[in-house]
Amino acid sequence: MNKLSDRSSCRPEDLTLLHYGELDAADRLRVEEHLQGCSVCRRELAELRSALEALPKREAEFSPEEIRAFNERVSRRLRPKSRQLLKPAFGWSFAAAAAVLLMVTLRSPTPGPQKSLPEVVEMERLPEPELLLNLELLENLDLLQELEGTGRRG
Amino acid sequence: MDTCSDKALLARMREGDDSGFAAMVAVHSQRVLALAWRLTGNREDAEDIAQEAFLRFHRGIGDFRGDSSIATWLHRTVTRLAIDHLRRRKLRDRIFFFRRSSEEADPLDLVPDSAPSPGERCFAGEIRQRLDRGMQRLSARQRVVFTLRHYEEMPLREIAAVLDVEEGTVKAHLHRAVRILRQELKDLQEESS
Repeated sequence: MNKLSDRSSCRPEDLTLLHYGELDAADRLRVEEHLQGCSVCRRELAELRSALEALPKREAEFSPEEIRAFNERVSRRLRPKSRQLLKPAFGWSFAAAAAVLLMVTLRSPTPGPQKSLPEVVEMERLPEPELLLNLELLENLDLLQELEGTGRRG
Repeated sequence: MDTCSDKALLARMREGDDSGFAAMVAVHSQRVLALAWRLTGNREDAEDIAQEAFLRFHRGIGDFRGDSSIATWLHRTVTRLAIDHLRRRKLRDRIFFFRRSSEEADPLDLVPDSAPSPGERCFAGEIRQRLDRGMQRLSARQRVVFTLRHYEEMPLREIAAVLDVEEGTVKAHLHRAVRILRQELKDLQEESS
């Protein structure tokens, strides 16, 4: 291995790893011994080092304004998600409340105007957008009531 | 960033405090963007990847045990996202190349002229351009391994852990990447010596 003519033990991969300090102690010793007797590898290592050291830096040039804009954009992406997480929870609880309300109304034999007044007041207090959002659910409830009525009649 | 700051930010985020997330992004974004840019070589892609890493962190906050720092987690996620992205990009480029018919314009004609401007005609500019070309010749893994080792100075053992491959595989990727880049820059470096 130490002969100039014997290149069978030349391992270019080892030179790359030697350059980056990625050889363990035993391999490092072996490669250094090889280099003492192999001028081809010595030249190769010198060229490798000079080539890698000459590589230009790859520094990203994001200005502070660009980074601030990025931070804001990422945080903005999060906000709708947080709201989306809340929407279904509120929507479903409202739907459940509406369903209970309707069941109570249906089961009471003669709902008088005075009895239903607090419920109407409660409904009025709810914000309009949520009512609109759950309109579809209420329509489905109407359909269920109709079906229930059909069942009773049958 | 130290563990105490990590813990404080994590506590705020777990309580649903969005300003804790914003603070975490502000602390890490510069490094995360720089890494994503080095891996992809493209600003837009770097921003998309960095953003996705931050949003994934937020989505998985409940599962984050804190075995590693937030910075390490982000570093690892950006690296994995970059590999996926580079693979998709290579595949897309290949498909685009093969689907091209004689009537269609050459994609190379559609991109802005990449010829060096007078200011870039200096030697350093030429080397940078060749380096970019060389990086594009690398496979996704070769590119990521080379970038992490050469520019980020991450030990190969850690790179192997991030990529979930054997250390020997990482060594082979590094060596091949170096060989390809040297081939690309050979004549320029011969000129300079």
